[in-house]
Amino acid sequence: MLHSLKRLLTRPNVIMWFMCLFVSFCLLGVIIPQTNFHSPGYFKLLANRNPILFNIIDTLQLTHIFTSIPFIFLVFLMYMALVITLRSQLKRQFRISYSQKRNMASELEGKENICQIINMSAATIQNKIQSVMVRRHFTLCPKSIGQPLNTLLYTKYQKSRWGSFVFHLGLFVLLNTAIYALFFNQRGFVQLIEGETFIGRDANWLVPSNGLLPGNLTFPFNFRLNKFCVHYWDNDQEKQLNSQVLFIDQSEKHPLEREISVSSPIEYGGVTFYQSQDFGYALTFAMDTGDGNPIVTHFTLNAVGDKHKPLTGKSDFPESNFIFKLKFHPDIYYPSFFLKQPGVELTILKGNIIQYEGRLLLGQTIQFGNNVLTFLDVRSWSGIIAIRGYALPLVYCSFFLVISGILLIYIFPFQQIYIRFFKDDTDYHIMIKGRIGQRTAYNHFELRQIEKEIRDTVVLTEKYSATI
Amino acid sequence: MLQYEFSLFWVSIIFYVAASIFFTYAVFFHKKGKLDLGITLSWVGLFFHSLAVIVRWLRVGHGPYLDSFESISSTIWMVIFIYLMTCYRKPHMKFIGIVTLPVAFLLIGLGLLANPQIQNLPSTFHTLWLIVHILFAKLTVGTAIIAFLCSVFYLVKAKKETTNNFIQRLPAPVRLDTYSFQFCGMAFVFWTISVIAGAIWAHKSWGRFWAWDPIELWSLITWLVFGIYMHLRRFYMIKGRRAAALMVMCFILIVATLFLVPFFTKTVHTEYLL
Repeated sequence: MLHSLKRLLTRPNVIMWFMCLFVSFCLLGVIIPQTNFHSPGYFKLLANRNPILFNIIDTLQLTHIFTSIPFIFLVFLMYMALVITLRSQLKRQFRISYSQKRNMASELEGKENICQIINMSAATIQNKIQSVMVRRHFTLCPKSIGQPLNTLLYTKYQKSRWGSFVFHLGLFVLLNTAIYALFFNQRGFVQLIEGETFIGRDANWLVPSNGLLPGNLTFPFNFRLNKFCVHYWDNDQEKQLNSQVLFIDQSEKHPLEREISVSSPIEYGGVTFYQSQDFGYALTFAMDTGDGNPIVTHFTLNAVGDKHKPLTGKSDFPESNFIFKLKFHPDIYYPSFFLKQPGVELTILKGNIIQYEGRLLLGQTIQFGNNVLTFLDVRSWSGIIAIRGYALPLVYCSFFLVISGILLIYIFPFQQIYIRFFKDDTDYHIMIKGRIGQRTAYNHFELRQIEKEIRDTVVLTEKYSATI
Repeated sequence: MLQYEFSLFWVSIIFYVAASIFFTYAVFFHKKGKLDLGITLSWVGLFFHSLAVIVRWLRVGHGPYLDSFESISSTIWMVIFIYLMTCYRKPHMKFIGIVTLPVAFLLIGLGLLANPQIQNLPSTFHTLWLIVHILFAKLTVGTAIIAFLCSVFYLVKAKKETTNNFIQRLPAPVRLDTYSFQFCGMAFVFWTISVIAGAIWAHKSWGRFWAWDPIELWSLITWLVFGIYMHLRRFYMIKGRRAAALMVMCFILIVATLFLVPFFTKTVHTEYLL
């Protein structure tokens, strides 16, 4: 049964079906909204609009199709097919033997060229053919036991018959990397305010994203964001984001300061830290509700693409019934001595009733009802992504294998030319066949060129006929 | 420097237009000498196009891959370059210029008339993988166009009982079929490298190889369809009209992935493809 399964998985039409199914899954992923691109609220709306359809889609796991059971099962089948194919390719390459050479003449498809030569001995013809083929960088294969004496087999780029195997091996390594990442990769995202220290515990990540197997991203050190800055081009387009981070490790004598930028991650303690493109400002407010214990809170606002546009946000003030609507200007221009001060246009709501509406500059205090609100501080926050995983070296390896396979297949393709000469009543005839790789017939026009060279080399007077 | 850049682009367009005229004349009136003249003019046009790209590169401080004009210009450059190299190795492919050159100068002209603005390199573009990813994507488009044209001409030529002189002068269908397969194979290989390089670049920038976003999905679909085509050609020996039709479908997918999907979706690729 195992043997039948192996044969089934490597049948070309089965592989075609696998690929078509994969394409179908991808198309479904394009058409049906996916959970990694839409918020839970979006799906609630969808469910309210059409509950039956949504239930069907949800039951079939189509909203997260690329981590669904059918998709993973399909990937597993393709993985098995690739493994078996690679194994059989490997076996065949090691087994290249006389039997393949002997059967070459019958295996070949395509055109054969025949030319007719007169007044030459077999030895002379053979020597001339050798000179033509050597000029074309072909190597004569030693005659195998049982190979007819009037046949010559030339090859070029012998090692390149491994090209297809190496290419598919690269894809296999890539698939392994994807499976490894799916199951084992650990990733976390955190919004870190300047001066804040992050303790490496899983619960502290804003957006943890771990593989399918259990495992949390924790590490025995802390890191603190010392400073974050954004660099702009002259036309105010974002140029680079830099975070200066301090790693505080109990096992090290001194903390280590490093800088993270976009596309320049750093590695520490087996974890790679990336600079996210998400950043913004954290506004700190303190509200005294009259009991003498002010409540201090941060509101984090995301930066928009244009640095001159204000940052907006809306959130509840903790331990109160107030909703804050903020429109923050990192530097407000006033026609007064408040130039280039951070300021916020603030609307405070209780239910739907506006409690306060106005501008508040950094350090200012306002009163609304019995409450006193102070705009305490503005600091930048930076998005830091941490990943623990070892997929990158595997991807580099697969990239190298794919490129190598490609070079072997296309730049140095394995070529075989089979030449047989035979005599009829008076004249010798030469038959030439060739192939590139295992199945592709040699280009007819190239064969004619070789045949022409042989003819021009050996023939003094000749008759020529080509049979197609 | 701006006026030098635009002048060089317009000079290259003039040479491409002249080459197109000679190609059309040579094909319809069977003048082989004019075909060679068309090739020479194409090379001259490519030279000025290269100078224009270099001047713009020096002016903006980055390669031709950010805004839509730069993207089109560099893609067209690659297409013309691959076409001319193909003609050098396979002289009977020169006839493809009757389609390639007019499309080239029209697209460049449209891009110039759209008043191309300078964009600066965003933070995620400070890596070598950008060059690998974009270079091989452009090579893919270049080779896919040649394969597509061979397939189209095959379908045209394979129509029986035609008295059209132009169609009769096209190379033999067997040759067209062979070249279509070979160029499609190259396109598949370049696309593979481009996708893997893109994944490595994404990992360096965002810490993840693959996010299943629309552009990534469509590029994977295109790659799989190319893979199906290659396997069908190899294992089922399909050739002729069916192979040509499948190649046309592969080309439509590439165009959709690179030029249509960015219009309808908002992804990290959207700004830089169009």
